[in-house]
Amino acid sequence: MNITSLLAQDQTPSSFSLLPSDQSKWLLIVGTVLVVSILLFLLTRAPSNMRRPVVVSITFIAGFLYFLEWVLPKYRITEEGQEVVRQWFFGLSYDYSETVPILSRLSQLLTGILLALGVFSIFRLHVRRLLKRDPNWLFSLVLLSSLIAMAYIGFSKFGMERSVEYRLMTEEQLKATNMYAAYDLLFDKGLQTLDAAMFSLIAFFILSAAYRAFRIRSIEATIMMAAALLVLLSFVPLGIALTSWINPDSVAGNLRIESVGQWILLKLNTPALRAIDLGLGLGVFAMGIRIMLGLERGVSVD
Amino acid sequence: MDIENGFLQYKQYGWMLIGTVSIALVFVLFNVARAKKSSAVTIRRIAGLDQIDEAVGRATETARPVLMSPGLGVLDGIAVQALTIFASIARSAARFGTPIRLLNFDAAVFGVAQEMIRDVYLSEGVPEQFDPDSVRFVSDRQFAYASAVAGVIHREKVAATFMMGEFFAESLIMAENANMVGAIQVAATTQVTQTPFFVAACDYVLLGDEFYAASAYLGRQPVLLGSLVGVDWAKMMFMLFLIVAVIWHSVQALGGVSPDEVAKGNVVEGQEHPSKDQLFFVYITKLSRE
Amino acid sequence: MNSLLSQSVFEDPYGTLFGDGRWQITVAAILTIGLYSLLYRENKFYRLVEHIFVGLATGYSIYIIWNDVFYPQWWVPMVGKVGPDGNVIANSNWLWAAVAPVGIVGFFVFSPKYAWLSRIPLGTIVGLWAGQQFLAFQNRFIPQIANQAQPIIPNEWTLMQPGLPPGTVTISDAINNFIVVITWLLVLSYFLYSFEQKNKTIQKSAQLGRWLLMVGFGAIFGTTMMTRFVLFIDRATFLLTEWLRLGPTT
Repeated sequence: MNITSLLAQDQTPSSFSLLPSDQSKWLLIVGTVLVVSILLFLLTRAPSNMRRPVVVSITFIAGFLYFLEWVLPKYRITEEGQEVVRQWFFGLSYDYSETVPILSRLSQLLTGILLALGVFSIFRLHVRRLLKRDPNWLFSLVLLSSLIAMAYIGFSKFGMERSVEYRLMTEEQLKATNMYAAYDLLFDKGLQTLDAAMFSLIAFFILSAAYRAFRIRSIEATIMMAAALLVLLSFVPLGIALTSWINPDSVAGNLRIESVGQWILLKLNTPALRAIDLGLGLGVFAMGIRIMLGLERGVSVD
Repeated sequence: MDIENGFLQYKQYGWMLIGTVSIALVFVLFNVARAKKSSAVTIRRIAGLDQIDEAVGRATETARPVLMSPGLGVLDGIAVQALTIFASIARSAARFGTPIRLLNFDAAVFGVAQEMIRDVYLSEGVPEQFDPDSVRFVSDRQFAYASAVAGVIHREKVAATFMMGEFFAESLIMAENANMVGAIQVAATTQVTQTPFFVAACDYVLLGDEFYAASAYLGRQPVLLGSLVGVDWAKMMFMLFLIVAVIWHSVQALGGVSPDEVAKGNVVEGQEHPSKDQLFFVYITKLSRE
Repeated sequence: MNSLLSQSVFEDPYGTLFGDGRWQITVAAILTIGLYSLLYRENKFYRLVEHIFVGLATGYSIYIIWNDVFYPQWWVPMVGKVGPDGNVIANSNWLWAAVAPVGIVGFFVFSPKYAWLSRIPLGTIVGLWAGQQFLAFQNRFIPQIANQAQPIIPNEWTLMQPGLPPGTVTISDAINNFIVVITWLLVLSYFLYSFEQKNKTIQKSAQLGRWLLMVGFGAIFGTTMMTRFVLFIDRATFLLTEWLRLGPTT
């Protein structure tokens, strides 16, 4: 047995990978939950000066797992190479790189569980408004009912998709079901339309932002909006028509508005953004180091 | 032993990539250690950051709330950075008794925020002023979040907004709505494509990694100052790296293009990589595309 | 409600609760107009639509996180899965059960006394993110820098013209490459923090860097403006053509 078969979806049956029909899995699942819960409960009894080391080391180990993936040698395994590469260090390092994808799944699952925190926050806020008869209580009621309706339809859809009848249905029959109609109303006509509507509102806000920027009489705002105007003109037929009288093959052809727009994008915009991006990348990089070492107050314990 | 097949990421010039990143890592660690020892590590003034207190002060005068949004990021370093800045804003707000609204997109970020802000009120000695509902999870769908934030901005007539973190298209919806109610706005985003909209719509914008400099600047903690200086060193290293590379390439290009390199595919039309010898930069770009 | 939904699914597949009428499109249009009313000012109509929006979004998130994350990535690996004809699709890796209590500890954020326990799942998430940054930085930024390293001395003293062999550096190329390099250096020099920018030259270069940055921002502004109008035109078409049936129908 190696670490791959421990958590990865290794399909060779072992004590960590039982056949689905093996009912002892339920015992093991419940047992695992209990053991981990007891361990966590014991942590609540731990003295308070233990807290910081526990949290910092968990964070560090989590980060170090990916650090290892970065530095440990990687392999492309060939048929003949199989045996050789599976020796001590190299074998371990190979297994390790196979196991790493589990970590991103772990992170996804933990984030997913925490969604319940958010849902709790929503319920707390709106149920409180309902009970207190806040002036906006009716809206809270609308919010909670549409939340429940959407979740209900979603889970019904999930259940339906796993039923035997569903598999036998043609697409036409499916479209005629109430389930389909309800999902279409809430998701396609409701949620997605709302998404698109809110997104398209930006067209108005971008105009008001542009107007505001044009009114600021600073050098920087003027430079920004001049560049914006040039690039915008280089995209629209009206703008292109302005300089269409210049012969594109002559040296002056470089001054045609579409050439100028392209030039700004490629020769000024790209390096400027790359420079600012490098700064941001280094910021993230340093942040990662500080988090791993427990130097960020936000995620460690004081 | 078939090691030909191994150490893939160190092959050719791969070790240079790992080496360069390691040097940056050492720069940061070295400067953090240095800053912890001596107080000689300082940073320059950052204009936008001086405005944060002014914005909170103005909110206090009007007795209207201060709105904070960590953007659409999941729980990562960017969100942690945003929350660190928000904690210092909340500290000023707690002192002045200004109400706050911290509206979250991600539930895990909400969890961290809830605890951090509660701690701020506790350490300021006014735990009873902390309203758990002032730190909220709103929605984890982009435009639902934007519409709800816009709603809060209008209904509560916020006096100041702080939008810091990862923002995407919704940045303008939020910033322009805050303008409609006359809020003073300080913004910072790690998404460069959204910075121009904040520049147009907000009063003060932290450009690029001024966002990361903010916590060092506000808190003056040695660790953060040191890490910022380490990042500076890394930037200077990369600047030097580029200058050397440009000179190297220019000299090589003077000799023209060898047909061998064209045949080997090291020189691609439309891409300006002329060389006589092996070019390590060409290899770097190739390796990373694999 | 449950029986109503499943009824037609299993017994009467051709009768739908909602018919095939156009009123769904009307609902969508009303919701759209509700959101648009924000442009005038915040009002009860907008507030209603906003609350519907947030409710639907959250409800959908709950469903989708089960459908896309928990079911395929946690439940199935944990309990295993058997296909319709009895073949084993996935074995039961029961150790996945350990994730549940660790995640649930996150709820302690609301308890001042045990809040530190919530740092276990939260610290794991952030720690995993932090560890990824080394490789992420290497893959994203070093090739970017390397790509900018282009020759700035021409090896062919002509202007850019078609038909030159690959690798030729014309005067135009050299000037353009120089502009790219210098823009990158100037902009980056603005983002140096470790010293006061007192020196006149440094001040000037940082100032120039800021201006070049503004040109870059302007270019983004211009390109984004285009795409946003396209989105609005799409919605306007929906309202006018699909809902009100004005103008040409497709």
